[in-house]
Amino acid sequence: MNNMGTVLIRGLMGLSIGVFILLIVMPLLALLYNIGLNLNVSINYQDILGPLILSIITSLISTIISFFIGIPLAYLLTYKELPFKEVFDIIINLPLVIPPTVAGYLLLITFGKYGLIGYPLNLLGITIMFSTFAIILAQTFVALPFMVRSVKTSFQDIPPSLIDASKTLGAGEYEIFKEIILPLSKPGIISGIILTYARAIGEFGATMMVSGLLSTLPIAIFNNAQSGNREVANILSLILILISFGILALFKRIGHGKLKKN
Amino acid sequence: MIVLDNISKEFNRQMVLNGINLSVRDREIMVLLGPSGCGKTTLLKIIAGLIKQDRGSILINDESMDNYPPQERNIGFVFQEYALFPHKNVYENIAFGLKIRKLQESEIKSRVNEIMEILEIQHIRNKRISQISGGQKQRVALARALVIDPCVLLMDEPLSALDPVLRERLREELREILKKLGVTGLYVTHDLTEAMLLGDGVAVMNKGVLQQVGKPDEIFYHPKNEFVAKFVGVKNILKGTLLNLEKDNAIIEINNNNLKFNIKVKKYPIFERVREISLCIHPEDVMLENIKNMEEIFKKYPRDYNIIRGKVIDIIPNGSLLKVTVDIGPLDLYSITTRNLLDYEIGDEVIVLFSKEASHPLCGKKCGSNKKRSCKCRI
Repeated sequence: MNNMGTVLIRGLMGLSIGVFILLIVMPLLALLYNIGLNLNVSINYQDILGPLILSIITSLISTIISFFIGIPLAYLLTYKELPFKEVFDIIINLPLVIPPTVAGYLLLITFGKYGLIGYPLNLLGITIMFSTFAIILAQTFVALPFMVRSVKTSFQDIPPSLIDASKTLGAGEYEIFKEIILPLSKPGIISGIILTYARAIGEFGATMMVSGLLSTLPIAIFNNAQSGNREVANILSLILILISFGILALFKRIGHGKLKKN
Repeated sequence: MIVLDNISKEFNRQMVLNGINLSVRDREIMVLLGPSGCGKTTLLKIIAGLIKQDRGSILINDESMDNYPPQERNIGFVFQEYALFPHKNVYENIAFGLKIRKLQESEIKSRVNEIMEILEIQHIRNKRISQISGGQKQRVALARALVIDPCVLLMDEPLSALDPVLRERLREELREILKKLGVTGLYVTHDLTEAMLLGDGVAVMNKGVLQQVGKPDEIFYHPKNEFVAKFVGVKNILKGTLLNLEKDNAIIEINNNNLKFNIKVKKYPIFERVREISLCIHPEDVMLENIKNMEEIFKKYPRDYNIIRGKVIDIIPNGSLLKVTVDIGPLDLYSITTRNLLDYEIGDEVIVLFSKEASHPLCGKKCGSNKKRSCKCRI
C-alpha cells in the first residue's frame, strides 16, 4: 500500500512537471524561437518604444494614485469603525474578480461622453475617455485592490498593544500613524507598490475598452499579433515578460527580507 | 491616589466588570490578583483610557479621568508582552513619550539617561529590541513607562513572559525599584508569590467582581470566601455546623458526618451569630504522621490537637515541597510537607493533625483583633 502511495505521488509530481513544461516553459521557448527566426526582419522601433513608454508612464502614475488612495483606504478598513464595513471591503476588492472588460464597460458608462460623470464634464469641455488619462483610470481601477489588500494585511499584522502603548505615551492619531504604523508596514507597502505596478502594466481588457487609438504594451501586442506583425509582437512580449520577471524577483526579495526580519 | 468608583463593563452582553470599587493610596502598589479572563486587564485598560467603561468613574489625584483620552491621562503602562517598538532601538523606545511631549533634545537625553541608570540598562541603549533578552525587555518597558513621570503606573503581568528563574530574580528587583521611586500603581498578576511580594495591598478578582481587598497577609491568612481561599492555595475548606460554643472553644461537625473538630474562636465573633460555617485550613498547618508512631504522636503533640485517621491518596512534588492528599472520610485534606519528613507512601494509613488555632472562618477579617471595627463577616 505504501509503495502504491509512493508511486502515485511520484506519478502526480511527474505529471505536474510535464504540464508545467507544456504550459509555461514551452510558450516561453516558443517566443525565444520566434524571435530567433525573425532576427533578420527590420523593425520600426517606434512601434516598440511608443507602447513601452506609454505603459511605463501610465502604470507609474496609476501606482502613485493607488498608493495615495490605497493607504488611507487600508487605514480606514483596519482601524475605523464604519457602517457596512464588510460591504465596503468587498466593493474595494471587486475589481480583483470581475472581468476586466466589465471594468472597462463600467468606466465607459461612468466617464464616457454620456456617462454619469462624463456627461456633465463633457458639457464643461472636459473629455476623459479614449485618452492617456482614461488608461490611467482603467489601470488604477483594476490595480487598486492589490495596494489596499497588501497594506491592510500589513496594518493588521501590527500588534494592537503597540498602538495602545503609543497612546498611553501620549501619541495622537497622526503620530501613531507616522511613528508606528507606517514604519512597521513598510514591507507591505513596498509589496503593494510592486504588485500594483505589475497589475497595471499588464492590464489589457479594461484599458482596451477606454484607450481609443492609444496602445499600451499589452494592446500593442494584441494589435500586432492580429495584423501579422509577429516580429514586433515577439519583442513587445519579451519586454513585458522581462519586466514581469524583474517585478516578481523584486517582490520575492522583499518578501524574503521581511521573513528574515521577523 | 487612584479611586475606582463602581466601574462596570459589558462585552457582547456579558458582564466583564461588575461594580468595581477600589482605592490605591499614594506610593502604594495594589496588586490585582485573579485567574485569566477575570477582567483584570480590562480594568487596567479602562483606567488607562484604552477602553471606555459603561458605568462608574475613575479619579486620579481627585480629578475625574472619565473624559480624558489615554494621551492626556499621563498614565504609565507596562504591557504583558512589553509592546516595545521593534523598529526603534532601546534609547528611541524609552525616549518616545518625551519626544511626543516635544521636550528639548537635551532634556530628553538627560531623563532617558537617568532612568536607564536606575534600571541599569545603559549598556544596551543602542541595541535593537530583537537583540535584547526578555529581562532586558522588561526593564526597557518599565523605563519607557516611568520616564514620562506618570501619576500612576499600570503593570499588566509584566513578568509572565519570563522563565521562572529570571522571574524570581526580577520580581525582587522590581519591588526595590518601585519602592525606590515611590510609584503609585496597579499591578496585575495571577501569581500569588508576585502578589505577596510586590503588593502593599491585594485585590482578588473573579468573574469581574472584586472578592476581597486587603493587605497580602490578610488575604493569605484570612480569605473571605471559598474562591479567595482556593486561589491563595488554601484548598482545605471545611463546611460544617457549630455544635457547641464555650468561651473561646467551639466544636464543629463537618458535613453532618459525625466528624467533629475543636476550633479556637476567640478572634471570631462570627461564631456567636452563625451556625452553618465554612472554615479554611492552610495545607502547611496540616501535619501527617505515620500510624505506626502512634505513641510518639501523643507525646509530641498537645492534647487539644485535632487528630483524625486518614489514607494517603496522592503525593505530588512541588519544587522542594510535596503536596499530599489524604482521604479522611467525608472529605480530602491537603498537606504540604518536605521530602525529609515523608514517612509514608500512597495507600498508607496516616494520622492527620492540626491545632485548634489552625482553622479560620471564611470571613476575611481577624475580627476580634480590633474592637473598634465592627465585624461585617458574611458567609
